[in-house]
Amino acid sequence: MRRVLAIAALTVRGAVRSRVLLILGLMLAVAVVGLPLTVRGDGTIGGLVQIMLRYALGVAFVLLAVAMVWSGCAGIATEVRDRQIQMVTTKPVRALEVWLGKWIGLLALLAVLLGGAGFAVFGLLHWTTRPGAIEEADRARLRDEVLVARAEIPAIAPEVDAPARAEFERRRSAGELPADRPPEEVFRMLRRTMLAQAFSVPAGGRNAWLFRVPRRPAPGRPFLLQFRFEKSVLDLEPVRLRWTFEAADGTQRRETVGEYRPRAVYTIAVPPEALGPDGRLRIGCEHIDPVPASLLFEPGDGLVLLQYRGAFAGNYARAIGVLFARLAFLTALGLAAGTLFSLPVAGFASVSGALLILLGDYIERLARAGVFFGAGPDAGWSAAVVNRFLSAVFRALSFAIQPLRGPDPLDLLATGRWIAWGLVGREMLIQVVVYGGLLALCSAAVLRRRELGLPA
Amino acid sequence: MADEQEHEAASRADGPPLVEAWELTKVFRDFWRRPQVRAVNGLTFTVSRGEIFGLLGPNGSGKSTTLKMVLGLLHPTRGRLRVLGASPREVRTKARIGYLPEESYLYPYLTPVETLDFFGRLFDLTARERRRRIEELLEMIGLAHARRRPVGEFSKGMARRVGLAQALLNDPDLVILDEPTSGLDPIGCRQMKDLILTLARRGKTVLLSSHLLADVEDICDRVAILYNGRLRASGAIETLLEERDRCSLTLPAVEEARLRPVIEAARAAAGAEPEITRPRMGLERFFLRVVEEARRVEEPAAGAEAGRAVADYLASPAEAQREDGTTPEGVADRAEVDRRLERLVGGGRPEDRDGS
Repeated sequence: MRRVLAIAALTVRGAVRSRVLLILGLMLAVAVVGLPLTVRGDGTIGGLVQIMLRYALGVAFVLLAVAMVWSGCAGIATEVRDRQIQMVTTKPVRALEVWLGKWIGLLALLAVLLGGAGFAVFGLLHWTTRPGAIEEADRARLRDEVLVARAEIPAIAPEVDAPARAEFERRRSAGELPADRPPEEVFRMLRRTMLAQAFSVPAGGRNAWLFRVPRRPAPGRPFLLQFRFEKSVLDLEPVRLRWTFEAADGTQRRETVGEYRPRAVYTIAVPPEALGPDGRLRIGCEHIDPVPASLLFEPGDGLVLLQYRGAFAGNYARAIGVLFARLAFLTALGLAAGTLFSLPVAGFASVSGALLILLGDYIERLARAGVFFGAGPDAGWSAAVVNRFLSAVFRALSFAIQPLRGPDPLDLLATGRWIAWGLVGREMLIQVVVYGGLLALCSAAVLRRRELGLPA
Repeated sequence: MADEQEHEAASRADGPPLVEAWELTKVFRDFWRRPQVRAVNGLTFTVSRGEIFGLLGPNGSGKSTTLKMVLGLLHPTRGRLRVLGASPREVRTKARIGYLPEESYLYPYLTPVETLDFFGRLFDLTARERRRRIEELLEMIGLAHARRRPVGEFSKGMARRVGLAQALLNDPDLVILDEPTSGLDPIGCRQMKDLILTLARRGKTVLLSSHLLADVEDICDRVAILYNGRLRASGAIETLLEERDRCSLTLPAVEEARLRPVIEAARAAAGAEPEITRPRMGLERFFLRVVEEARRVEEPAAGAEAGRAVADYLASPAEAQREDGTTPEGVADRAEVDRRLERLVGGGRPEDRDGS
């Protein structure tokens, strides 16, 4: 461990003495302080705070991501180029110790820079929203909506797999499946349609959803229903709705009536007394507007309960923790590329890797689609072979990338959503321990076998 | 004399060789794995414990490539290589090796103290031991006054001294020096050569490469001469250089008239005309004498100072003797050490060989 720490300390010292740390610190300071001053929000204090959280920290993340990938690439590649690695590897040091030392050193720098940026944004936030700087009503709204950590409780998803499978089998036996689509895609479309129906409210009709609330709402803390819907008629005219809140057995019923526009996000207070003793809550929506238009709530986040879980400061720290884990992985990616390639090539390779992760959703869709060049009986055997090969490639890529993808902590933070310790732990485990560890082992194996004394 | 040298080398070479190379071959390939250069071709040699072994050859002859294979920085294409009884890529083997590369690949932003401390940590030395050795090494290389300056500001010679210090930090059994006198001024060269001799006397094995023939001749017990990657000649220096059909007789300066009977006798004995010359001291010795005299009357120069002969932890017991003539506890007195050394090397000590 002494050797690992020696190399880590050397890495930090190198960054400090070569003024990399200073330059990065200045760039971050400009980004986190200057950006909120130059970007105009929606004119509200809430909008400004969201810009601070989402954009200032977002820019800091991007800057640090670029800096860490590049520093990672340079960490070993420049030492190989300048031959200093020869002085190190001729000492009793394992390749893994060299790699880990570099990584830990860069992570120490990252911790300082990200921590500094985090403190700067947090301080700026407090200064901007200090008493006297904004109206008390705005401060209260900020505390309730943005500067808070609220858990998001989605509706219990209705069972749609079995009915979708039954409908699919019925259509197949009736010969009603489209010929130009793979059967699995048809099944997925059926399932999606049924799920959408489960979250729709027909004109003049009613629908209800069950929620399981893991803990009772704290007294004096807001307990909210947040919703957003689309209308089957393409206009933005408000719709009159009656919301009902009751226990799962239909008791303790409360209701409220209001007019709501499509595509806008609304939060309405949920009476805590409507929650049943078993922690279940049924929320109904009745379409009482004469307009003949169905309403569609997006399954997942179109209809959620928001429950107070903790203070903003803790949530903020957890968001920084998630960012740190992701940046730690990017640093490892850069270091691994720098172990394999010379500096410019390593830079391109690691940026390509990072882009693949960003395109994770698209890659997953490609992997699921499985069809790239024609389909059906008319497609030739060559198209089938290419499709099968590409499908395997995209499935493998998707399998490797998906664990690295997760919710955007800045989005959660800016919307006052609870960032669970579980998410921080998961990110640390996946990004740092599993993927960072895998990169460390692979890089060490390469470094051990690589001829570091080759002539220039 | 040649026999004595062979005997000296042989007597030091107790135990198994520290470096054994059989049919060592290195072919450099391009990106597509096509062979480009055969840098070393079927090289076989051994380096015995306690000897100073020199790899000699012109630029591009394969000296540095061979050293890098011994260090595990390059992998042989063919052949076998054992260093300290193990693979050169074995981590624990490296704890017993000190390496000075041809260029001092140091971190320019570190001071000499930080550089040595960093490498000391890699050798897993304790903080106390690191401090002690760093102080002694800085004294030895004459850079104690520049301890707080970044190495990047140093001249090549000063950086090379720091490189040398890091090579000796772990008190290595095998010291590998690639062009050790490269970039050093004549005083530094002399100190380097003295140091190498001292290390050998201390029981260290030194493997060095050089294209400076005088350096190798001054200090090496045995050499291997490479050309184009192949071994062209090898053996003990004295054996290789001895002119067996000639001999010389050195006398104190006397008038030529008084020499006449000796010349006549020599002519009769050899059956040929003897050659009478005055011995020359050599430019290096002359230069050192001039600088030494200048130092007595002037301030030292801004660069490296004349360092101490060797760090205490590297010095033999004889060199660890205190200046007042007493010796540290457990260390024999100088005369006794000299006697032991005489017995050990079977006659002339290494420093006697440079003719000074």
